[in-house]
Amino acid sequence: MHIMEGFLPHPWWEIWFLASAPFVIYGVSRINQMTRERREALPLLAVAGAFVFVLSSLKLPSVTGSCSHPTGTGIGAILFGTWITSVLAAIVLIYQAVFLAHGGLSTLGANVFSMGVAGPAAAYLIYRASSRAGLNFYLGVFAATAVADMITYLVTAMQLALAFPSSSGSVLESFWAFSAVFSLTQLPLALLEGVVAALMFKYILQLRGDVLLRLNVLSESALGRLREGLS
Amino acid sequence: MHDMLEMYAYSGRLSEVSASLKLLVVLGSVLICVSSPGPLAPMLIGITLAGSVVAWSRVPAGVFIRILLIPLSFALLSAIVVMLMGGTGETLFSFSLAGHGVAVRKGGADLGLLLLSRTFGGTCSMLFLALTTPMMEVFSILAACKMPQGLVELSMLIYRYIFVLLEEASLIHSAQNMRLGYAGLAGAIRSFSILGSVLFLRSWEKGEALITTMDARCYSGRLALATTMPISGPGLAAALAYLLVMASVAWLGRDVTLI
Repeated sequence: MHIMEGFLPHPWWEIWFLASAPFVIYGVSRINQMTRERREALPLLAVAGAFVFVLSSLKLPSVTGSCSHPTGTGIGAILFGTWITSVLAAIVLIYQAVFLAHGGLSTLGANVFSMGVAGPAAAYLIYRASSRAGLNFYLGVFAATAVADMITYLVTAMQLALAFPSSSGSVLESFWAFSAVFSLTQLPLALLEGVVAALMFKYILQLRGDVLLRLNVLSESALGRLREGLS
Repeated sequence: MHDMLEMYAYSGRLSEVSASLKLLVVLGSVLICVSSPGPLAPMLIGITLAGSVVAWSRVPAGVFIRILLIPLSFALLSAIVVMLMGGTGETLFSFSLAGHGVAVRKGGADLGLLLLSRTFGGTCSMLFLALTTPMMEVFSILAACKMPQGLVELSMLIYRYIFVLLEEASLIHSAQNMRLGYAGLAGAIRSFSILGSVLFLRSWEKGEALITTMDARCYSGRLALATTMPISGPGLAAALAYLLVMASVAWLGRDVTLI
């Protein structure tokens, strides 16, 4: 859910730039450190970023009749962690703004905050909590991705509500209105992306479980158990 | 779609203008659009930039409008909420929705239209950049502006691999489609998930191959970048004059409303 160029008035677009900057800056320093320590990290990060972009530009099977794309950031956060996903999401959002005029430059800060910080953080925390609690792996992936999408669109609704409170001055009232309108398309989309993500991880497990092990998504014992379940 | 936009960026007459100059115009226009108090300046910026792309960059007007409509339709949804929620002044019209009275007031309608015009102007500015400036030139500017080297290199490699993976995704999608993979919702969800997972694994393998390729070409941790074209004096003067005129339109037309 992008906020389009020009939609957020002063001072809100500046505020969201300031809010998301620390996360991206910290992410960049993490990536610098990674690429210094391991040379092979840069190409892998690059294809990861391209993967997130392409995933988010694919058209999902339509449920509501509207044009719907996955955000891809929930899946990114499970695979690569929150910080790296923040940086990748920032780069992907700049490309979407500059190539396709989806989103924009002045609204970049707000979009990075909702899609690159809040969503991935939620996905990562839920996924880690569920795997620590010993919940079913696929259920964890589904919950993490679906909730990440919902958090993303709720944060977007909040950003718009803060900038445009209702005539009585109530931010809450306006927040409900925005989230109600967005939920028509975003709620089915979130559930759908959750299902797709869970199935995706199933196929990745079948074909190249070792990749998930290297990315530290699964422990060796968990991978063995899941492989047994599939065969 | 991406190939197409990039093709225009290389082929038009505006591709011979310095990228820094175009970036200056776009950033200036975006800032004027977002801070303009009235809808006049954003509309004018949108029309002039769209017109110059169509006139000088050989982009057919139909293509331009089609690309423009997608983001604008998203903005329309949010603008309608703003129109219904906010504002004071006289009621323009009212109706009842699910038992609630809904009224559109003048203040809300003005704000909604202002937002739409800002989005129109801003989106046209972004499309101006997309359709006239090859991405590689933007990277050179970023590197010249002392952005972290790692970030610029990462962005360049991501850029390259976006096209590789898009090609891959469209091949897989056609193969699935030919085998009726997208007939019915359940089948479509299954096919889409397979597409996503195979895409991930292909990109992983390409990443591993890329390490070998770069090592074989003596990658030392730095990628070479072309230098940018110098800014011409008359070009700079024209760009500054354009931005100045637009800023004054924004200032003079601050009280103009569309209703």
